[in-house]
Amino acid sequence: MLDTIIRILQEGWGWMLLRGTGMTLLVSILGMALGVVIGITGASIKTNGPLVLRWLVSIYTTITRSIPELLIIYLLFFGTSQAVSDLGALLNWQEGMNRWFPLMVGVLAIGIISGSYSVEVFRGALKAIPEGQIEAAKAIGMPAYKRLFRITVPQMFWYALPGSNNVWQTALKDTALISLVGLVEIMRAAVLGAAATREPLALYLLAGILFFIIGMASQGVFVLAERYFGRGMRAVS
Amino acid sequence: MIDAELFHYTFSNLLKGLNLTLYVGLISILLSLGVGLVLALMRMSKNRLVSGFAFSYSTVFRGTPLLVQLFILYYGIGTIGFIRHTPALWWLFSDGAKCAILAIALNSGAYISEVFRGGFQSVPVGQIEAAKAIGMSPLKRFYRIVFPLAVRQALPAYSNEIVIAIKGTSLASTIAVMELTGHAKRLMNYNYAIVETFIIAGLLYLLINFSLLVIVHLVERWLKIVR
Repeated sequence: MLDTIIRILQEGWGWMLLRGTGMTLLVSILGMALGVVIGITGASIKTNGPLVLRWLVSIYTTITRSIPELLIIYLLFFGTSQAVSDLGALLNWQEGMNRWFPLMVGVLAIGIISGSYSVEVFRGALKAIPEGQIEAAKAIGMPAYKRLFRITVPQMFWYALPGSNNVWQTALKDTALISLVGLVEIMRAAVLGAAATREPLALYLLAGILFFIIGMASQGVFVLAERYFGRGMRAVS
Repeated sequence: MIDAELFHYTFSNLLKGLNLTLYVGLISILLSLGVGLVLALMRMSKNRLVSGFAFSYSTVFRGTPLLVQLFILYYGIGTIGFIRHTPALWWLFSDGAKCAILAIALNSGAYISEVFRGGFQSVPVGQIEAAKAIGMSPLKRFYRIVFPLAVRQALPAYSNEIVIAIKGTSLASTIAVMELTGHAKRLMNYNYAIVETFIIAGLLYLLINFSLLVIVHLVERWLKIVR
């Protein structure tokens, strides 16, 4: 097994998998960032938005979380492919459009899916900020934007870190599904390699190891971030 | 708006996949319960080797995508000569639906073991001490005291795992098992009723998940201790 793996890595599939790893990181980081934006927006609406919008956010989170990720990815892929190819023809940039289309679908899909979980994470984080601090800030005459950037935002991110770690780990693993619409990330690189070398077991094991390493490493990053942003904070649970 | 004929065509096509989704989903949910329970008990074991195995298992299976696990089982394991030449194993690994069931059960079992472990750890020590004091055997202590209390504690968190397992069945479509998502993809691919297909398939998934959650809720109520 080990010599098969070494041979496969030497045949150039190691490089391919490494490039796939870069793509996995790119799509999961961009998707997660979009999800955080959706999460913060949704959480603000859910804590003090108008009733109709609160309903809409609830419908979005409920539906997105109970429908398979793959179905959402297919909706985005098939639903926009016509529009995107029309746009490509209009701009005379078909080649570029075709190249970046799976990445756009991936970022959008991961953003929408992870966003539905982030809403709850950030809602909890907003609720965790003691009311008294906001009142104190009002009492000493801080304007609303200063209250937001000095009191609410820094603490919200810290409270949201543990939950965001979970969301991130799920988002990272969900990116493997984007391979099914043609994005050459880790999984797609492994599928191509498996077809070319006829060694599916070795390639998929390698893909699993890569995902595992990224997951473990990012776990470490979150622990460090919690420690760094938690300076001067009292530990919660 | 959706016209009646298109709706009927899409709906009847998707229904063809519903059976397989339910088959793969329900069997893997049942199997994952067993896997999860055994792993949780192993995690609680005093034997370092046993608890270490359960810990590594749960870390590896929770740390890699289900799709990778599914491909290893279906495309990878099948290339091993020994598996091909053992009829019982080949029966299991040559069939997509069975591989999907196995992958979801093994994956979901890892997550469920964490839920159960939390349940077991929540059992108050005093209860176990009291059972010991009146001379209950370890086995009786387990099925009369520890297990019933742990299950009650674990059920609410467990319901999430059911939804995740049902969502996981959609990956079976990637190894040529034409379940709900597989049919939805086929329809989206050639009749362009993309949004309609998504809505109907989505509603079917919502219905499955909702029914299963209702069942868990009923079990929860049934187990509730009336004081």
